[in-house]
Amino acid sequence: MRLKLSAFAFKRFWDVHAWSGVVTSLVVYFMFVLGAVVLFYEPLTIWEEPLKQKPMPVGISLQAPLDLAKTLPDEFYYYLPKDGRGPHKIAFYLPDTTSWRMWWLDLEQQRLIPQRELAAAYVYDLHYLWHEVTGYALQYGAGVLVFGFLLAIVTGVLIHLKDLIPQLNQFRPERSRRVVWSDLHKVTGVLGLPFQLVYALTGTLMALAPLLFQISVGPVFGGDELSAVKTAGALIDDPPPRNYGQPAQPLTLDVLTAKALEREPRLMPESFVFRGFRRELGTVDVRGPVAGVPFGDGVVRVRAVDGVVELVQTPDNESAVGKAARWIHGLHTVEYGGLAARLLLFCLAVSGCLAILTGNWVWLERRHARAPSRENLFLARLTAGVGSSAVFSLAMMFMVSRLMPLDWAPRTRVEELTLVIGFAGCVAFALLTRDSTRVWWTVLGTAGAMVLTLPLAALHHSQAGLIGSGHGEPHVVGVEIGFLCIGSALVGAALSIRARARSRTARDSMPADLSPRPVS
Amino acid sequence: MTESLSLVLLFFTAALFYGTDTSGGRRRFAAFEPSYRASVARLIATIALVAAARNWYSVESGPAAALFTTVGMMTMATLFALLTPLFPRFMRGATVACVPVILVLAWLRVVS
Repeated sequence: MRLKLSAFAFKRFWDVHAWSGVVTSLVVYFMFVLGAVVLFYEPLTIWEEPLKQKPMPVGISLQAPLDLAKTLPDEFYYYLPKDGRGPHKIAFYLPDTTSWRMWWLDLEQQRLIPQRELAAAYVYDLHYLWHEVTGYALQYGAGVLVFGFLLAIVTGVLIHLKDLIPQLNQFRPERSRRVVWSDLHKVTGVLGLPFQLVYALTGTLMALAPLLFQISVGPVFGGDELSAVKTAGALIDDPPPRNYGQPAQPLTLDVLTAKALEREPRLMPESFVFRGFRRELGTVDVRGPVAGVPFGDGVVRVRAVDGVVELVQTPDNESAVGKAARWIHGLHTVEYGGLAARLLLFCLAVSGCLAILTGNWVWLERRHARAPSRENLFLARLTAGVGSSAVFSLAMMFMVSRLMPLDWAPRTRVEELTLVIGFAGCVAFALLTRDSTRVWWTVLGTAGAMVLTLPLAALHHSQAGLIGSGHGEPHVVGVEIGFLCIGSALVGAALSIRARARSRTARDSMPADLSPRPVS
Repeated sequence: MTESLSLVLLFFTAALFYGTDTSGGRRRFAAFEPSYRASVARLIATIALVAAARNWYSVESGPAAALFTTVGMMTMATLFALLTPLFPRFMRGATVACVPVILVLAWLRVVS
């Protein structure tokens, strides 16, 4: 395919590609790094919380763990253990806030244990730039920025349309730095194009879904929020608030689940949402995957006092928007392919990070060659700062999470602060350091060393890991093998960057006639 | 077993497509230099690609198999494009080693 744009169109697309890329790059890079980690959210939650490493209690009813909680709010979530591991849990938003709280229901000792580990959850929330302090504001900002990134992808394809195929696998590491960055940018950009396109598109829609929902309720649904929720499907979780009537005694959860399964036998219950708890019009959503349907999560809503089915939402009876929402959600959260697909997507996310960073470096090399400026120097240092600190701050947070006592109440806040301080400190270090290359190898090397020692630090809380004395739990062992691989890769990258920087310094200090000339 | 077999098949597919591609008028892997060999290699690569997708389809749905194959090909192709110029012998060796590995994994998949 050899399509050539007019000079005018090429120039315009080039400018849009370069500016949208450089404006969105660092935030999107941060989201990509967190996304790569979030791919392993479930194993990470098992690794970080020893309670989830134990087998689940057998032969108990659905209702029994729930009865441990003496006081419950009107609306709460109840989760069953996954893959036969760990205790049941309940969670809810504190009334009139977006603060989410969770408790483990420990049947053995008949007690509620508050959630004491949130490292993986922070990574998950920050991937969408969501935080309870900032609410949806930052998330919407992230959605807009990812849309800008989408623009960079589309214009990137347009300006390279004439030679897209030759650039598929042209990587020339022996050439000058500018050519190497350019080749890396094109190879990772072109080969990872479907991945980046799908994730940018689905990510934008997921981040902006609540906003799009709110602004469409009036003009599209005539203000009928309930009908809007039914249409939106998987993108919107909560129906609008309603009056659930006078207090009343509900049926047990086992009976309600049986009634839901009578109506939809393919449903495999994983969690329950109680609304209007212990009220005459209160409901229970029985939620879980629907057997045999791709990305096929379903909900059966039953009335808690008599088990009357109010709603059955499965892939067979959803709206077109609901179907699109299911695919958007399923594609973005990788509800297919198991561990193998997640490992492949991890590699693609790393390659996406490379595409973003090399884009900035190409911009800097081109601009610097024309006219060095303070803005370019600032961007170079900021790229080094954000690029390296995203990895460093995560390593630091996981390390601190392993070193603090599990039952120490402020530990979740300390984890959060560690992430913020680690990130800000690194960026400040990069902005104050003359040599950006030094920032890269120092910070990546330190992060790598920390990641390599995580399995050792994890012994503080659990013996189920790679070097623990207990019975190895496959998820924990897997996560720790992952840490060893990532740590080694980071240390290897740091050593390689340092060696190249030193050889370049030595070459630059040679008399001009002895210095090898880079091929460009 | 299914995962390993599909991954190795995708790696092999990417290797053959990469190796038969031309750079400066020459095939990237010299073994595919006469064009008839390149054609045969591409045919084998296509068969391996279909086999990888079919293998995944046996455990998951059609869309999941298509997605897995696409994601796998993107990853393996990136791997080859970036690593072969740096470690050419290792990548060629890995490609050759794929053949017995695929046969052993396929046999284990059949008997298990």
